[in-house]
Amino acid sequence: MAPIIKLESVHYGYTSSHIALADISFGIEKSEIFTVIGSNGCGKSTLLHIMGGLLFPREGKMFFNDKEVSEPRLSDANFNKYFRSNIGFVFQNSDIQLFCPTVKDELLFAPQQLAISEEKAQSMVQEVMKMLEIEYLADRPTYMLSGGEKKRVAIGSVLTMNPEVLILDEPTSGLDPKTSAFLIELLFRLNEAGKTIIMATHRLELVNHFQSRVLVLSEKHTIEKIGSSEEILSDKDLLLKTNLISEYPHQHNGVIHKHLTTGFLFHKHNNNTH
Amino acid sequence: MNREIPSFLLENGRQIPLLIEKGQKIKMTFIDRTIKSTFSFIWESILQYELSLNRLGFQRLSSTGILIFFLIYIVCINLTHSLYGHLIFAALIFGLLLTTSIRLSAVYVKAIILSFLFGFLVMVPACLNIFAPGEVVLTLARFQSEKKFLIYHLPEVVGITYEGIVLVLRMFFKVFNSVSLTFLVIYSVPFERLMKSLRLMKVPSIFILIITMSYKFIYTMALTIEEMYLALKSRWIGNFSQDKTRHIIAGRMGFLFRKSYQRYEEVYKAMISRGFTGDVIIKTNEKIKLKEACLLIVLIGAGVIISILKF
Repeated sequence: MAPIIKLESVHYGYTSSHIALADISFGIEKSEIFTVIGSNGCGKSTLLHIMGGLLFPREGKMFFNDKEVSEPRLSDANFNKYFRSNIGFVFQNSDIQLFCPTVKDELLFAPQQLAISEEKAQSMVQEVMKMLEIEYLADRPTYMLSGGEKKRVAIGSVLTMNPEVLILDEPTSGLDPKTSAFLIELLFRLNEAGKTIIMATHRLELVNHFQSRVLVLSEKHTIEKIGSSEEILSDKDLLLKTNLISEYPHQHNGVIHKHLTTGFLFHKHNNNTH
Repeated sequence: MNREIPSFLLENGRQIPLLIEKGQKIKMTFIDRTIKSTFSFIWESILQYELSLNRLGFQRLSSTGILIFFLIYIVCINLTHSLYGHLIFAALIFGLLLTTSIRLSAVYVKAIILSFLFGFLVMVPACLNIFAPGEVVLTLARFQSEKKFLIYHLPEVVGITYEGIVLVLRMFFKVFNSVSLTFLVIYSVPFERLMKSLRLMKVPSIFILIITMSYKFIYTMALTIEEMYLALKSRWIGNFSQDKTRHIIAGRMGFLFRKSYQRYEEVYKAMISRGFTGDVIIKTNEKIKLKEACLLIVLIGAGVIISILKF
């Protein structure tokens, strides 16, 4: 089966010396959970923006369901509707994603554009609000929400579009543990229903939770490795090289010492010493 | 998970299909284009910073030296009346650009566009004998007799005069030289260093601080506008009516205003927390060395001579 998203030798640079991505080629299968990891500034968000048809490669090609996605192609209303309605993008900063006057307007935005009947659109919005527990926010202006509420509304605004592919940039950033757990469970359920989940993160525990296929971006903006989460998370040298783990000083029983830690990986103590 | 997932999300294969026929062309609205061009400011700033890092030739001068050179040359260019004088200035700026790492196209494409708009187009009527009396070199219209209307006098023959052409060319080169000189300077020194050197010229610190903060503020806001634009684009399906676009853009402007206000408060708190009491101390080591001073004297002297000589 052809991959749902495919990138061929993609290069992207903001200026000639400001390279964000270099020679990126890979494919993502339908109904797959795919994670892009890498240190800050390695090009994760740029890669997601290219997959979401928001930026276009300087060189190389991007395909969605075997159809090339380019700026001229997206100026065709039919292709635009097909592509945009099938790809839902959740931005890291929810603030910038919410542009309608109220929460309900925000959730209604996509169904209205897709010309879904008013009655059906209202029922879809109600169901999504109920699931995300944001019914009480329906008439509230989007700027009067807390960080967690904004994230829920941003996710809701994409879900009412019912996209085939869900792209999430740092999905759990700024969320409390309960909301994070809820989001992870939601993504699992959506994946079970056949949706493709693509996300970018530098939190290795998220990769461990999802047990997904993982693409590691190097600090040189190229693909360092693509593999299963077990394969990637057990490769200490790779994680060190790509600056995903580091030596942290911390304290145990009054002793300050340093060792590799990401919060859960390679964090072992010798009880005889400390 | 206790909360139930809506059934429509769990149904597979009900996605929007791709229609075979070509659809209507999506038009980028004027407002949309404006947003897009706003964040080109970011890449201009990065370009400026990167170009000024490769210090070659003219770029090796201190920012204070470059600033003094700029201020004197701008005055000289604007006081020059001779067309030949302007041509010599253009050649001099070109020569200085050649010594740097700056791409000529980065400067001249913008300089030509701006000088065409503000130096040539607005001055074109001035080449007619109505405004610039003299020898007509190209006749455009011929009337049976002279006409007078209020303060205007329309001669029998209306045409382009030699004096008019010189006047238009002089104005064109005045703008062209000023713009290319400005680009030479901004691509030679990073903005922050240029601001610091203003301090040596006794410009009040608070004024420098305000300019620097405004620049950073525009940069940060341009980044926010870029993110907003991408977020809007990701959910922008098909064509929007102008009304709907205006509604969304107005909402986004409101958001930017709130964001600006929040940021202003945060920056002020950050300044207070680091001991800001109203006085700003800006130190700079951008002092002019002897060798540089000699070079500047030669350059500035040449500029002054060109501007006062009558060719």
